[in-house]
Amino acid sequence: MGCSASKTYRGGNSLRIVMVGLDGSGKTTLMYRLVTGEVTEATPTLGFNVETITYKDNEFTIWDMGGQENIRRLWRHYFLRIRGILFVIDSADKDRIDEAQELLDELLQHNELLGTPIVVVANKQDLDGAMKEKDIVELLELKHISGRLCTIQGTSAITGAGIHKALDNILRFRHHMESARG
Amino acid sequence: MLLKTSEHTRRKTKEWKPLTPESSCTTLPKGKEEEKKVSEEGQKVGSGRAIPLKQGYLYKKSHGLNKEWKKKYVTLSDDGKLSYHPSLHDYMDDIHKKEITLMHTTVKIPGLRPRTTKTIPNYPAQHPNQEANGSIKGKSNKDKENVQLTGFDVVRQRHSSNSDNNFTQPQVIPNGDSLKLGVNGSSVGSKIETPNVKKRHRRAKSGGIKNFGPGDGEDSDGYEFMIISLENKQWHFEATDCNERDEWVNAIEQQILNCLQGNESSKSKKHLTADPAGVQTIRDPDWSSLNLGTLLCIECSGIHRNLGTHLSRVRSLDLDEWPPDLQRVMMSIGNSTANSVWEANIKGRPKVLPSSSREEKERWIRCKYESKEFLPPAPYVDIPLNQQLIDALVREDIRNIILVLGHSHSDDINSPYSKDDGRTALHIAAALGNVVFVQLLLWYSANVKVVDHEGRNALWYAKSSGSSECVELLTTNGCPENPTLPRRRTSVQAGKNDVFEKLPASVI
Repeated sequence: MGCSASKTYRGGNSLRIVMVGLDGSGKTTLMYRLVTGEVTEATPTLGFNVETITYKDNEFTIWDMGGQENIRRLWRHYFLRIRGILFVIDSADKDRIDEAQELLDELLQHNELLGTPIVVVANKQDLDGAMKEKDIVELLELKHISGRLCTIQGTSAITGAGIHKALDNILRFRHHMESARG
Repeated sequence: MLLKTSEHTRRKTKEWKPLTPESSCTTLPKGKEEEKKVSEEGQKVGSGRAIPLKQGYLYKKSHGLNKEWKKKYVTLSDDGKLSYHPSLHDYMDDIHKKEITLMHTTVKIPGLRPRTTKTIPNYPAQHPNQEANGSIKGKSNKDKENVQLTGFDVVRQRHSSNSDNNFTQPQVIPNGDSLKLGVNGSSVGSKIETPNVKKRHRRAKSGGIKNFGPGDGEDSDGYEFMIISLENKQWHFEATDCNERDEWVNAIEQQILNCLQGNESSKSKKHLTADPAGVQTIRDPDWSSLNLGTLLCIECSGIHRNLGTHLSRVRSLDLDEWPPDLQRVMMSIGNSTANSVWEANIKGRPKVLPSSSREEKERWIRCKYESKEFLPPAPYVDIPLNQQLIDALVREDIRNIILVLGHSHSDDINSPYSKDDGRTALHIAAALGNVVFVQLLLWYSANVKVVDHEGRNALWYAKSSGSSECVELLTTNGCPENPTLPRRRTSVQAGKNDVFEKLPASVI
């Protein structure tokens, strides 16, 4: 994987990923943990951040969207040719899990995102009292999601646990969809 | 005006000439068209053009094949547009204008993380591929757990028809070099601006994790910044020094934010504090901590978010919605009251100032809310916290409510007042019909399902107080309409069952 190889036009290999979720769920910290391998302390994202990383010979372009309510309304403008959704939640915030569920429901109804695979990222697993993946599956009613590939991945942007598994899932889903198409 | 006419004729006569290597054949007719359009618009607008917020010369990397850096006269206006002209003359004549709508863009300095973030040195840097290969010992166990936990996948439908689109539209955003932008990307001015072309050598790139953008990594000695749109269009600019770059980046960021806010016609919530005087020292108090009832600047809001939502719930005054009950919480506490509790005991330690470093601010905030070092003891030593809390609620003494809540754990908050009086703090707050108290208690993990000695829950008390706000808040927080039976009766039943179980089978 030469450095220059990723800089040249390689049809179809850049995966455009959108990272969304409620404000304060850890999207920006997660993205920069992936990009730099370091823990950053983010202030609230006004608008969006975008970074490209190469992981396992695949180029990911990750769009990290601000989570505040007024910015959420602008998300739809960014849903162009998205190959995967990372839906990030704060696993330690039980009080807002219903809000997260409503947001997820709303998100999945966008026409541009029909059939787009989704990885629910159960972030902040390092915190005491963080909800486990199986609980979140129930609370977000993930088993009722149809018409797309869906999974959940526990992560901690602070320890780095699980963050690359989220990307692995995106790759796995892409492979699955490609082989399904024959 | 004279210059403009001569420019026109010059360009017209130039049209038939063979193309120079620098010019691209597709751009000439387009350029002419655009020029015409712009000058028409210019005439329409007349002399009443708005004064830009910021203007000056910057180098801009051309979108053409040569990627030359050319001097442009760049202007930022308060309608969220960044425009650039080949020269100040062109700007004054309003010709050869290119415009970037900032609303759906982001601005960044290549290779750096967003300017609002910082690295925490305590955590080791880690190459992404290292973890994936499991080469870091001690991590692998954790990863295995994650693999097991991720057992569930839902595959209801293999793929939908429109997913095909996803694969036929390749996206490449390496460093902009190989990115061929649309026809708009090629500069009209490039053909007449050759003297301004900046000679630069491309910097050598190093391996490792690839951020995109020229001048990868921390190598930003070129004082570049870039604007990226949601369609992945990129514009690279370069300032002459670090300050100039930061000024531009700050001004552009501010415009992006203004566009986001203005677009949704959000009303300013600047009045959302009980004591406007208490926030005067805060530079831009545009953020809030709901449960603390205080206003914050954006930097402190970032630190508060890192505390976790059990300590501070951060919201934006401008970018979040504010239902009436949340507004009332903010109005009934305020920074002065909150600080009179959380900073009552600072023992002469110097307070952080707006000019303090982020490290100092973070240390202060963590001392204040996480280790509660400045929190004075609860008012009484010999009275249980649950009773002190209920007493403060009944007296509607917000300062003591905050103080006692600061010391309480969920057990204290959910304990009945006494053996004879089974009401908890939440029952009392609901009975008072005080939506602020109810909300505060819910944030401090009050249990909506607890019933008193009569088998009544908080919803019953809220209804009897006639407060529809409390009823609604409790209902949305899952307070059941029909409370479960009080513990005493279930324990009696359980006792009965025990008796039956102990009896010999023949008796039953």
